[in-house]
Amino acid sequence: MSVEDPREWEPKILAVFCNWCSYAGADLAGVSRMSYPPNVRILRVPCSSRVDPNFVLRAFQKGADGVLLSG
Amino acid sequence: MPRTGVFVCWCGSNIGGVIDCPETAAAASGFPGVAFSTDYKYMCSEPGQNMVIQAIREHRLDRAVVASCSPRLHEETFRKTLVRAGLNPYMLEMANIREHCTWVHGADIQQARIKAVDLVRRAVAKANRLEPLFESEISVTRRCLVIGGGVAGIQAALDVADAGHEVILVEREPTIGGNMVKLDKTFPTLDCSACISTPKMVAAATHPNIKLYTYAEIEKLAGYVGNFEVTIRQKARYVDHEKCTGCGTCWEKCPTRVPSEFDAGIGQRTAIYIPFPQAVPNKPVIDREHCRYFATGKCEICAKLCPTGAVDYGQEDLVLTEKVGAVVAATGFGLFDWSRVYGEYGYGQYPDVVTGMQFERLVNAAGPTGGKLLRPSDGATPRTVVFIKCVGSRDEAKGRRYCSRICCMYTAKHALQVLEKVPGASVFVFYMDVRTAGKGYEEFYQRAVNNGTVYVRGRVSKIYQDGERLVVRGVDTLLGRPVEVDADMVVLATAVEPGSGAAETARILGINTDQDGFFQEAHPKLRPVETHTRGVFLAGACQAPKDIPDTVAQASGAAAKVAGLLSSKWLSTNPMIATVNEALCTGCFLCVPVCSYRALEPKKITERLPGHPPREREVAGVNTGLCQGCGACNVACRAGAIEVRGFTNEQLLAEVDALCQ
Amino acid sequence: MRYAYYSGCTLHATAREFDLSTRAVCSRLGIELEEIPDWNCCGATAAHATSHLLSVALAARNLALAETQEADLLVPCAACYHRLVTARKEMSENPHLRERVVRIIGREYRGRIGVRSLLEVLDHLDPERLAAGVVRPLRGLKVACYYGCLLVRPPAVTGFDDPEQPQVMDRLMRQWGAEPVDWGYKTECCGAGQGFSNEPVVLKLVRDILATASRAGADCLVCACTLCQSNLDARQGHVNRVYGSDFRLPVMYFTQLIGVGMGMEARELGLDSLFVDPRPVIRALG
Repeated sequence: MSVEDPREWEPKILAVFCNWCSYAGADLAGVSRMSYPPNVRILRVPCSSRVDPNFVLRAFQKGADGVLLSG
Repeated sequence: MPRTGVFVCWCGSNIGGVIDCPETAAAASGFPGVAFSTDYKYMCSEPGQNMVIQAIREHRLDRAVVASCSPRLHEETFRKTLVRAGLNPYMLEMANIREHCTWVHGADIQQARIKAVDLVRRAVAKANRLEPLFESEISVTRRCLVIGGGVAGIQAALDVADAGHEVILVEREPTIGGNMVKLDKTFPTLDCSACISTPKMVAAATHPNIKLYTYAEIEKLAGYVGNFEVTIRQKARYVDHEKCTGCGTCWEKCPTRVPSEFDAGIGQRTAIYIPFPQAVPNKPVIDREHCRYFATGKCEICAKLCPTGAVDYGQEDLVLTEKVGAVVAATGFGLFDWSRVYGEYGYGQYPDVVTGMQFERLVNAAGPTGGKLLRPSDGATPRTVVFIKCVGSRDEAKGRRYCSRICCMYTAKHALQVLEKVPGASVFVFYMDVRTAGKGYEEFYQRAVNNGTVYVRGRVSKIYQDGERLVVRGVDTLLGRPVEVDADMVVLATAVEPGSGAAETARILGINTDQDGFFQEAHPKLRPVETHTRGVFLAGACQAPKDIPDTVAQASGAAAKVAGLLSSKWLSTNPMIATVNEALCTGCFLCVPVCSYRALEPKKITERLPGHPPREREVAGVNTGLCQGCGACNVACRAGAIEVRGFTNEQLLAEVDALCQ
Repeated sequence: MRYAYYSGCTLHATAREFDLSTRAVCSRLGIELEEIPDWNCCGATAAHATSHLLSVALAARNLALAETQEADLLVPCAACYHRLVTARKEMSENPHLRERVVRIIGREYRGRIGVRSLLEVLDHLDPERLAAGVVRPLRGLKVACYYGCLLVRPPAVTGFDDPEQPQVMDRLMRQWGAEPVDWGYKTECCGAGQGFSNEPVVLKLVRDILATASRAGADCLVCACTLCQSNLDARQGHVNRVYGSDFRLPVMYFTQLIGVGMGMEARELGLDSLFVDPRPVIRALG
């Protein structure tokens, strides 16, 4: 990842998705052959209420540029 | 050290056509803990599964990562594969490299390859921290509670009873039948509502597997799926139904007259009454509030005349309990009280402005006018009738936001009934849209139009009485001009809303309501009859406004779910639920209020610490029948004592690390 | 009971009888009225149709003046009432607007006083105190209470009665022994605003109001708005010529009828200055 040239820099995004809705939604995006930027990495949780603030902090600590919570 | 196997699936060209699967498998072989990795064309096929089993045995693998499609599709499949290989089924983790990668990033092959490897890295990180989990079993009481004796409750009760299970049917009114039995005709076939619903009422009351409680309400539901205990309050009827023969002498002679709820207030009933002649049970109750004896201590006419001595003024409410394994909520709907807010329609002060339900009673052969269409004020036959739709529906300012779904159709039905009963009548319908989705519905609406109903697209701004006529002033938005109709009678299609007491029922059952107060289904498309409380199902208009066909279909759907649940004496429980480390739990019980499923409650344990006498302490306990494994408690627990099996902090943090690397 | 009194321009000219009867009735009921010194136009008609700021500023100057009298403002005319109460609400909800207006009018305005319609004030009087004033009940007089468009609308601004089925005037008339009729035109537009620009429309609106009131059995119309009164009263001859009708329906201010009920003379109340002479109807009361 290079910060010198902003045109080449791509953010790394962690997405934490609820198994029952947004994870299924991401599945549906696949089934529908939609296209979206590949920067996002999806983590499956049993419910958005399982998201601990620590997950977000850890993600930034480990180099994520953004965290998307959805549920 | 774990011995993890990684199996990368091509899914034909779905995955293999975008990324290089052997390359992904090779990359995975370098991840910590990975003892073996390979790829195959179709991992879910018979040879594919056999390959997994063989690799597990050959390489002494103790866990597996399958990189293929979504776990929502094939997690169960591969868990069974692991069982066949002699592993615990929960030692599986899947990497979703099809839906979340190759199907959406086909245009960027380079990035898709990188992402696939990342997704496998995450799965391996989690797999390395998996632990065997074991399903447990709970017993099931093979009986079902149905709340509400309208058509939804009756249908659900009959279906469950026919499947061989005992049903407790609870209805708060003195008769079952609900709203449907009040209707005259039903759209789009115009068959008589009573003719199709009263036989069902009798069938429910006489079914050997159905135990009927009328004039009764549920007060409490304790327990969990398979093991509920419901508390029912049987309201005092002041009539001993064991002795009563339903001869009718009492309600013929009772001197008190009050507006009949069954007739939507346009007819009258006595204080000791049956709501309508075909009521089930066909035995009366005394309305204590209006009974002359209870008000003044004098009268007792019914008691004196009763040939069997069934009247018992001293009767009291009876509270009893029943054990059931499943619950169906079928509490139906109520109608929006337009007279509180629609001042422009006269706040209910004009007697000839009636609701659709009152119109049903006016045209019903068993209604107060014997089926003759006569207007309430002077008993004259109305020659011009105006219908106004969306009174309270789709009206954010005064009523509800949503569409009530049934009004377009019943208004078309009412229009046809006026035209049929009053030859030469003029019928106007003011509407916003006409919505006729349903089998035979559009044709039915066209029939109303072709038979002479004038549909005016626009709202009515005002109704006022001018002598004997009602002046209805509105706008025709298609012509763009105001219109005024001199009407003899106006019928308002009032909004469908949750039945009175729905919020209380939801609270008792521990289920959610939506923003409009209807009961919330577990998933709007895929789990429409289930709730978030396992073992509690929904039928009919308590979930959303519905017509009769949809209500009956949903009731049968709920009954099928109940029958499935009650088909076995034992129920296996999902092991991926919350667990409490009692040594760490401080007993703060912050977890209790955050649990939507009421699965956590304090429990007493005896602690033995060396050098100390045993002491009793309260800690959180998880009810495995109720817990759905959502993890809210896990996050709320300050001491870190609660973990959701299969989604522990350790596992999830390892996944975060792997994904953000 | 003391109020700052805003009569407005019409009560000094075409609606002098409204002013007369208001002062007479209030004095008898012990309601002290102190006319605002140096009051100006309320901002109705021309002002609020051309400049929002001007319409608020005009009303605000009156409010600021009334504030120095340390009493709520009492307004008989419906149009004046509507402007003053609207300006008050807008300034209380929008401090920025208030600051701007204060600069324009060059006076302090804190928003401490309320704006009351005379109807609202009478409605809140002790019923016994009202009853004591009735010496000549209007028994048998069938009145059609006409509220017009401004008095009770919009409800978020006026708020003292129901916008669709107002009752204040009906209640008051009933207390004075009259019989208010049920009719559907209580809040319909009388067309006064279009009086000069679109006469045919106004004639129809006036005709409809008169016809509906007559059919409902009313002996007279009672109103609370100077524009409505003059429009409905003065145009009856014209309506009769155009529509071939024969309306002779007296249109009185509610204060005039209350005054009659208090036993006052027709001249004291200005009943002699109306177009359709109400005196025969009054005399018929006996």
